Amino acid sequence: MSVTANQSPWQVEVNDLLRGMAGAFLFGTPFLYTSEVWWKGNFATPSQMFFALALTYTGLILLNWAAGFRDLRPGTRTRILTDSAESLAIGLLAATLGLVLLNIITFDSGLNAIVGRIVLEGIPFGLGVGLANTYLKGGGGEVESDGKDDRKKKEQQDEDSRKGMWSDVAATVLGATLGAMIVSAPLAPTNEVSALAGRQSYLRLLVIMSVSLLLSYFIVFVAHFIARRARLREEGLLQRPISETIFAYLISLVMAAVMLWLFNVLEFGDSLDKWVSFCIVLGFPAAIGGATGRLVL
Amino acid sequence: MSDERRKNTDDQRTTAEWASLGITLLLLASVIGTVITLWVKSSDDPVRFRIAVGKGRFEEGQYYLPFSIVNDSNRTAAQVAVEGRAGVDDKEETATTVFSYIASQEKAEGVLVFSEVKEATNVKVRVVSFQRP
Repeated sequence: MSVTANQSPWQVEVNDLLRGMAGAFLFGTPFLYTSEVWWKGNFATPSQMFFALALTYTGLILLNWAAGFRDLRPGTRTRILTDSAESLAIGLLAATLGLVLLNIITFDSGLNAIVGRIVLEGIPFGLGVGLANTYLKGGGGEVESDGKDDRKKKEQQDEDSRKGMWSDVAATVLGATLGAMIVSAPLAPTNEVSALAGRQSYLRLLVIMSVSLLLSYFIVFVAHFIARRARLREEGLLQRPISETIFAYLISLVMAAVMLWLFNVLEFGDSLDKWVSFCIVLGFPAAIGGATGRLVL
Repeated sequence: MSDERRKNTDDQRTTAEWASLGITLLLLASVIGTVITLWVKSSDDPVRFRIAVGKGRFEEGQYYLPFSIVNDSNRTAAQVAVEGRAGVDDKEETATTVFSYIASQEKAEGVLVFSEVKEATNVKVRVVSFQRP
């Protein structure tokens, strides 16, 4: 049984699933902004859908053998196979949530197109679950420790506290800014941003903002990707999870606006409606990029 | 790829693990079941559309006529061009719009805009062309 010290089995399981979900969005979100994927989803035949599911599952078996999304690496064949099935299901669920969130699938879309889009988007989302512990190396896993590890931890703790308030603020701002920029820059000039912004009502925009904030929070403070405990130990101005999440999201929105203006998608004479909807739509991947940036720096 | 995490070599599962495995397998089964259903129901029927015209409105010299179109077939159609013709006295005005694609069983909505008519008299809305991608 995979119970990590000081955590109930349910807590461990919820953390594992959240890590998988966060990994899916980290890797899959740019594909939500690729209209060719939705387009091809309309024409996918059931046999192609099966092939896509089988291919993703095969890829996930290899990824779960090497990494996976759980705190503890799957060490038996059965666990690798079941973790891979869970990864695929989490990926499909995350893809569905993303497609519904951005209004890419609705009840009027037709069953074939809905399933086709979910399955095709499920490929990158599913692989994101399998890669969760790989591309954000350092996971929060409880590695068996000895005295040497404890000394290292203590030294790290001391170093962390020395960083002080301003270095923490700088790291948060820099990480959020760079992460948001890296993700939003290639998406800003694409037609998908305007196509998606045009589909959103004010209520939907509020939901997108809420999900952006929630995902950003989960990635940095819940999913245990990297040194979460070290982050929580630091006593910085922004180190309270909620204030840091909100501040980083504001940075993501600003970066989305800057990128949209830079690529002439938005101009100063454009309506407030256009500015708000475009920035919130691009702010979603930017927030995820910002969260990743804060973890990496 | 080096991974310092501990391996879980125990095949015994906690209740929480069983619960998440059960739910995720159920989700996976529902997706696979839907794909099988689509496979069984798939046919080579030709593309056909159903159009329903809504209530129009006159505003600032333009007549706006909303309509919905449903692709009743099992195939997706691309570049679906819809044309509306409205008659006023002896004149006839035409308005067109194009949908990038309408997937199988998908319902799409559009609005035709006329500048010469003030109400829907003798309006005919139909698909004039589409492409098979």
